[in-house]
Amino acid sequence: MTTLAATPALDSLSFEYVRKLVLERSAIALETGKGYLVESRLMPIARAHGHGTLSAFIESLRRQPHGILHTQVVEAMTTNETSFFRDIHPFDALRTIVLPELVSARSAAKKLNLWSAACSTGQEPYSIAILLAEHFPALSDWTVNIYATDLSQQVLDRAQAGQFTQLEANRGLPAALLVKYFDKVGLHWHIKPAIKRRVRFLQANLIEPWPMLPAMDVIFMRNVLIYFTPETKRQILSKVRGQLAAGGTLFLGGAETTLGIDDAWRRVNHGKTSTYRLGPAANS
Amino acid sequence: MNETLVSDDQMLELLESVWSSMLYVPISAVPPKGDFTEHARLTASVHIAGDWNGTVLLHLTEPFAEFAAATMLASDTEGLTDADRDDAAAELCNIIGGSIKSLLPGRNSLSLPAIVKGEESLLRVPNTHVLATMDVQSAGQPLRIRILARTDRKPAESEFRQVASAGAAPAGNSRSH
Amino acid sequence: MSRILLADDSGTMRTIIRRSLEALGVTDIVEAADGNQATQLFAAGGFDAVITDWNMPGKTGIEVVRTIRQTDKTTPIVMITTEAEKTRVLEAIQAGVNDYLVKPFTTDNLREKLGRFTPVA
Ligand SMILES: C[S@@+](CC[C@H](N)C(=O)[O-])C[C@H]1O[C@@H](n2cnc3c(N)ncnc32)[C@H](O)[C@@H]1O
Repeated sequence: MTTLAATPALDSLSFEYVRKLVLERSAIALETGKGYLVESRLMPIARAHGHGTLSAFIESLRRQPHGILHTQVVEAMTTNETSFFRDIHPFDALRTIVLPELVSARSAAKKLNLWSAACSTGQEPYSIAILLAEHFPALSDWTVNIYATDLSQQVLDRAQAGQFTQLEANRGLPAALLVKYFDKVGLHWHIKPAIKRRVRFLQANLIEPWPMLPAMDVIFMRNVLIYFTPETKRQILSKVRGQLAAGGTLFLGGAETTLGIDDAWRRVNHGKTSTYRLGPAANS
Repeated sequence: MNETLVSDDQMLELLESVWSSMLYVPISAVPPKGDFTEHARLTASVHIAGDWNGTVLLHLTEPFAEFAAATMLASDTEGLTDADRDDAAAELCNIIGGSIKSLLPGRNSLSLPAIVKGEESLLRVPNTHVLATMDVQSAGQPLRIRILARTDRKPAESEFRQVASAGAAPAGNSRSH
Repeated sequence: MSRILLADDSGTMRTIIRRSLEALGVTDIVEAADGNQATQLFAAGGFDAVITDWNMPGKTGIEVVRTIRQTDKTTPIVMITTEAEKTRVLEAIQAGVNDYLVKPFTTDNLREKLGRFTPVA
């Protein structure tokens, strides 16, 4: 059996260059010791551009003005792990508590804005859209906007296509929802146009100025703050405050919290999950 | 391969999804050098019947069957029996066959998988021709997947002699390799 | 503690599924290698959930589901099969399965599906 020549270990200068590039452009903090990750993610790009070694590729990156290649490198260093109805409990809280409250609070305006920030390949915003279609049919004459953003154009293109492999469809989607909201084409499950139309995908970097978005009733910003330094988390959370509509709710990932980072937030417990809100607790 | 029913890309994608989720090793479309016929001692098969009729064959080596069984059963190779190796190969073929079936036109059903093994065995599938062949390698071992389609042509038979001619053109009338 | 009936003609597949169940803390697993055995075992009673393959000797999995559903509407049934067409998933849902998992699956897929139907003590 022939094996590919082992790539020489990434030299520290090259690693440092990638670490800085990725930190500056995405705020993702690559710790020392993540050299193997840089290697496995960037080697395919290096090869595709005719470089035999990673160091040679990185050397050429340093000499060029920032362009598509640098963007590709940053995108390649993002972790896009996601699934439909990830962790399930946040979606239960959305269905049983957050949305029913919003539906009565917004019944005059008949308008809702939801945002999946860092949506990766689309499973999160599509889960929200499916949940709305499945459990809130009364909202059909409302204006419901679901915005979905990510840093990486590559994952956004996949999200926009709305085509999922069987293994992706196996993750988190009960069979009844799969057959109701997807069609099988070849090996893939395609989300139905009626659901796809409900989600608007936009590119947005959380550490750069955000695109013009309406005040949000619900923000999902899950499993992205974990990659950032505490200072970056604090800055983003304070920007989220400005983006949340009065009475709005923020969902974070299971390993994320505002506690000790931005104490303007109030944590609300819902059994197996929590949400975050602003302002004093309503007396109930 | 055949473009209309199962493309090479689809074939590779479905194999990759089986390999990544059940065997945790890469599979590559680059067949290993050397003669496949020296290694193949095992062929698993499933038949597809209905609006489309044919057979999916998975030819594999004993070391690969052993590796697959050990991985799927999370056991060390010493603890494995012949039945374990056969069953692992059969189940892989069953899963591959099921994915292939989902790409075929009409309504079809899948048979239970079967195993042919041994040095001098002969596998004969009457009234078929080779629709597609894909050679791949994984864990340093060669593997071959064949799709046989029911045919009206004569002579109409696909025949595979294990070891002796598993890698050679089948005795039947084949149009693609 | 849940008691699970696990029907699949492949011993390899039964082992894979059994391992995932054990990882979820379910150890009371009764195995059936064909559809007839599965319905007989089920008829004896005492199961909290059923996991069944589709293509098996004797009764097929879909027949197993229909047989069970004639007398039992509530015990969760999860079908785990290589049958990957949408029409098949629909057929299984109509027959009364609670969920459906297409092979190949990752152990995470399996654990998550089973976790929803196998309340662990
Ligand atoms: C692990 S995924 C989370 C996906 C989804 N929210 C979930 O919880 O399943 C993290 C995503 O954050 C994105 N990301 C990383 N840094 C970002 C940044 N600075 N701005 C916007 N998105 C970013 C990545 O591209 C990736 O798709």
